[in-house]
Amino acid sequence: MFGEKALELIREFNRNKDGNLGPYNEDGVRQVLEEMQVLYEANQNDVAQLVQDTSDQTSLTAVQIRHDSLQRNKRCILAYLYNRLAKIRSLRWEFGSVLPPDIKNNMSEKEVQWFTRYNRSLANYMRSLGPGGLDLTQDLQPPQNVYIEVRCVEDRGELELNDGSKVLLKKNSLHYLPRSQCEHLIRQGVLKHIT
Amino acid sequence: MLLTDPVKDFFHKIVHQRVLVMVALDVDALCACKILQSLFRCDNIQYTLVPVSKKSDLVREYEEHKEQNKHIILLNCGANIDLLNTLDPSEDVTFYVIDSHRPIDLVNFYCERQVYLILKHNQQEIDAIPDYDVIYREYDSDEEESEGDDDTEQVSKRRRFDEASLMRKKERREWEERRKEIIFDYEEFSYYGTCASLIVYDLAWRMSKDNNELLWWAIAGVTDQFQNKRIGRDRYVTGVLELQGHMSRLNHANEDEDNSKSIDCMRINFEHDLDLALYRHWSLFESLCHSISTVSAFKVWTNIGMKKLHQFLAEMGIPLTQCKQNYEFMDTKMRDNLQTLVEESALKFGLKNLKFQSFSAQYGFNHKICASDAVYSVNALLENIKLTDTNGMTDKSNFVDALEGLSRISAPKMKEGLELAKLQLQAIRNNVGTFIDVGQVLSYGPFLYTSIKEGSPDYKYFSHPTHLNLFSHYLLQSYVRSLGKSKREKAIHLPLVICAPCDIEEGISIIAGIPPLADDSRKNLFGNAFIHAAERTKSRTSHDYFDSSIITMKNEDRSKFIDALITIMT
Repeated sequence: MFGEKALELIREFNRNKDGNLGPYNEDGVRQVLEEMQVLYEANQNDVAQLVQDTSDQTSLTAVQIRHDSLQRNKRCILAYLYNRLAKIRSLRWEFGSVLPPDIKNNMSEKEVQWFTRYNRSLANYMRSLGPGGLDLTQDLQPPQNVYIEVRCVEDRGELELNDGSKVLLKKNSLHYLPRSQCEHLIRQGVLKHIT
Repeated sequence: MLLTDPVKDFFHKIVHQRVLVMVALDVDALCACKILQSLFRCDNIQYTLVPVSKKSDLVREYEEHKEQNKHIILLNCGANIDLLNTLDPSEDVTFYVIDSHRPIDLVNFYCERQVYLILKHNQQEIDAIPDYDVIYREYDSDEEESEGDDDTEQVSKRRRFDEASLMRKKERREWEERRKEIIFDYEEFSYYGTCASLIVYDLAWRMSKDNNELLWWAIAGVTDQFQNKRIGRDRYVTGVLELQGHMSRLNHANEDEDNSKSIDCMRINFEHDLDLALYRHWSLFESLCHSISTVSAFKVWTNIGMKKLHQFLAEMGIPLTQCKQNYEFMDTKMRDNLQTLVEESALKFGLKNLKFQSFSAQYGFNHKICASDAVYSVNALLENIKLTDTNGMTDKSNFVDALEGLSRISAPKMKEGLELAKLQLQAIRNNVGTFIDVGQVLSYGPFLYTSIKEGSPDYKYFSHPTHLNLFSHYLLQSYVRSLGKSKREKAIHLPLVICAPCDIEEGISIIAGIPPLADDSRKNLFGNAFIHAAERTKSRTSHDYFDSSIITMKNEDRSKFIDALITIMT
């Protein structure tokens, strides 16, 4: 049936939506585009014939169906491409400007180019905020305190702070530390912020 | 050493340092911890919180954390143990001890540099501590060497020397004996001083950093001491009066109708409350069945007792359906008059001390809780027996849960704790009934003795010290009330020793002793008695808890230990 392969693309993206980016389904996209090409040419012929022979309107419905399928395929491909780009953008905020190689392998060339351009605009914007620029990607939420209270979820050993003093992270111990130094541990899930 | 000015000598010294706070596992220590936490947050002092339940925990955590922290604060632990010997700290480590356990170890008191005690200046307590000269004395080197040098002397001189040295030896022996006697008298009774949360609240007040939240935690600490019968009524009332002063200062905005504070601020009210356990979160009937005063007065484990209880309810004029209804759904007219009704009928049925002075906190229209309920809830959270966690970790996760429950009066953990408290009170009430029916409370002469068997269904609740103590108080009161008049006169002066299984696989039981009912000062002599009995019988005991009247020991040594205890105490 028309539009099935496009739906397959969407399903595949949906399956991967919680994890990191899945591989770019080059084949799938190509097949959908081929199907669209076939439909379009058939439609061209039919429309030419309809215009010529105004008495025989039987192929009108066929044209309608093909037209709708074309639009459906277009919508599905656009959704697929757009959502992948949105995912790549969120990966920039999570991982930073250099993506791990396995994710990079999953992106198509065009997507890689898009990513570099996005990086560049984001860097330009952050540089323009205030003197010396402001790194927006550092904190998950706007920081409210210099120091925060955290609880350690698992045994991690010693953590060395910027001023040289060490903190022993044991399971279920509570600490009051400068925010900047425990952010990365909170992101990893070792520490939990207590509100 | 005793600190005279806690603000200057303690707080200002740690302002730019990292601190390690070791917190004992009881509600008072947790409240003090919460107050300290908020003070630290005001000044951005970095801290690490570590819960410790026993002396061995204290040593272990100290070993692990000693490199990273030079300033260590001990909350409700450490005053009655010799810190310098037990922990063997290096020269630059300072300990600040805020502890309600007494008697204070003499080494801690007289140590000049490393151990600082932060106490309320109670002249009586300080007078009770023996003088420096009685305990410590310089050893003259003459006394040691006199034996060696005589050989070269002439005979007459030698004889004179001998007399002088004999005199000195005799004097030293006398001094040592007197010293032992004085130390024995000093350490004979263990009791509790001002609660830690009140001391820390005082510190906050001196720095003008106190507010309603801190006051609520201080209230919870004082109520905890009273509820677990660690202090008598007089000391409790003194604490309450002091807190009332602070409360009226911080909550006076309510009286002025035009400028009253919004309903969304936390407000604390003073009230004369009924001494019924959790009655606002339970039904009236259930609460009457589970509170210590009513359980012992009505003897609810007997049929006659239940009938009397129903009579009491009928006397008050509250229909039975209302009594068994959850308190929140009771008729409003009856709820409002409840206190007066109970008070009037109480005298007829021999219930004394049913009202006591307490506080309640309110936040918005939804959340209202009274101090004793909060204490029940946090106690239950602290000693929660979680069946899935491994033994070592349960303490720590309970600690974190209990801290969360204390953080706000609207915290969901608080409600969870109330449900747990209900379960624990039910366990206590069931067992009290069975024990007295079966006659498991035996009189061993100088004390009453009872033991919880391993097979009993609720034994897990009683393997923790605070609940074991609460159970023994219920049991003692009920037992004394259930005796005839003549026996009651004697029984009121007898303390109770209770034994419960602690760890079935290892065969360890926990033994606790509580002072007799008649003693309002709550001085407990079991600390020393247990130590002597253990020494005599060479039993395998461990005096690991901060409260010296609770010990753990192997099951096999139990009977000879109790026999030795009987001999010591007669």
